[in-house]
Amino acid sequence: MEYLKTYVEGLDEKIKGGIPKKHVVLISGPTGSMKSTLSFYIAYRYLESKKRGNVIYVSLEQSRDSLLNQMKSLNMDIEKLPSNCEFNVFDWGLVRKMVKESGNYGDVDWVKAIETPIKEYARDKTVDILILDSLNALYAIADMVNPRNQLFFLFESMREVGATTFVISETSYNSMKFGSYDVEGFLADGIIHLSMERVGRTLGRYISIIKMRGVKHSTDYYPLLVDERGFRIVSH
Amino acid sequence: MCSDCNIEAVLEKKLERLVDGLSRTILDIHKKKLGFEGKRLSKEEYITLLGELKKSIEKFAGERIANEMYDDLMGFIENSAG
Repeated sequence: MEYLKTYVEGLDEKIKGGIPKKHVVLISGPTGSMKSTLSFYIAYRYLESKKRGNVIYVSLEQSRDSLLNQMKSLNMDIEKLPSNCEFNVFDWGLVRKMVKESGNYGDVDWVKAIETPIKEYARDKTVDILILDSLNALYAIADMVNPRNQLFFLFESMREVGATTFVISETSYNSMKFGSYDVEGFLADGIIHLSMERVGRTLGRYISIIKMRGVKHSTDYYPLLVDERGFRIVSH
Repeated sequence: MCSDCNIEAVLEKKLERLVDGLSRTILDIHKKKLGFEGKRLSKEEYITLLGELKKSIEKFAGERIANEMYDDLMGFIENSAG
C-alpha cells in the first residue's frame, strides 16, 4: 500500500507512514481549528516535495483570491511551486453569486456541477489530491433528501477520480459528531479530528486520528502547533 | 446551423466542462453584461464575449485553465466563417 504523508511533524510516525493513497478522509473540527489550512498544507507540501503532481481544491465559500492570499501569508505560494505542479483552486462561491444574480439558483444540480470539472480534469491528468471545502457549504446549496445515500455516491464519485481526497467538515466545539448528519464518518475511509480547548487565556489546538482504514493507529489527541516551519504535534 | 449559432453552441459545450448545467446561465450573464442579450453576434462581438468569459474563468479556476479555454475557443472563433 502507498501512503501520503501528512507532513505534520511527528504525526506520520503515529499512523505508520501516512494516509493510504486514494482514501477519502474527513477533516473535521470547529471554526478556527485550521481544517482548510491543514488540507492545503498537506497538498502543498506534497507537490513541493515530489516536484510534480496535480491538486484540485474545491472551495464552495471562500473566494480563490482570499484562500490563496491566506495561504501565501503562511508561506504557501502556489506560484512558487515547481513548473510540473498544478495546484488548481475552483471558486464555486463566485459561480454561486453569479447564478444567484441570474435568478436560476434553485434549478441547479450543484453536486453534478461541482463534480464535472473534477472528472473532466481527471480524464486528461492524474489527480493526486482532491480537497472539498466544505461539506457544510455543500449541504447549504444541495438538497440533501437522503444524506447517507447521496453522500455514499458523492464519496464513490470522488474515489473514482483516484485521488487521495480530503473532505472538510465543520462541527461545533466539544462535539464528537464528525459531520452534520452523523453518517459522514461511516462513509469515509478516515477521520482526522481537529479540536480546540481553552488553555488558560488561549485556545489550544489538538489533532487525533479517529479512523484510518488499513492502518494501525492510536486515537490519542496530540497538541497541534503551527509556526513558520509548518505543522507539528507534541508527542506524549 | 448558422456560423454564429455554431460558435455559441461550441462556447456553451466547452463551458459545460467547467460548469456543468450552468453554461447557458453563465453565457447569458456575460452577454447581458456586454449588452449583447438577444442579439445576433458578429465574430468581433464573440471575441469580446470570450474575453469577458476568460476574466471570469480566471477568477473561478485560475490563469492556466482560463488561458487553455481561451486559446481553444479563440482558435475556433477565428476559424469560423462570418
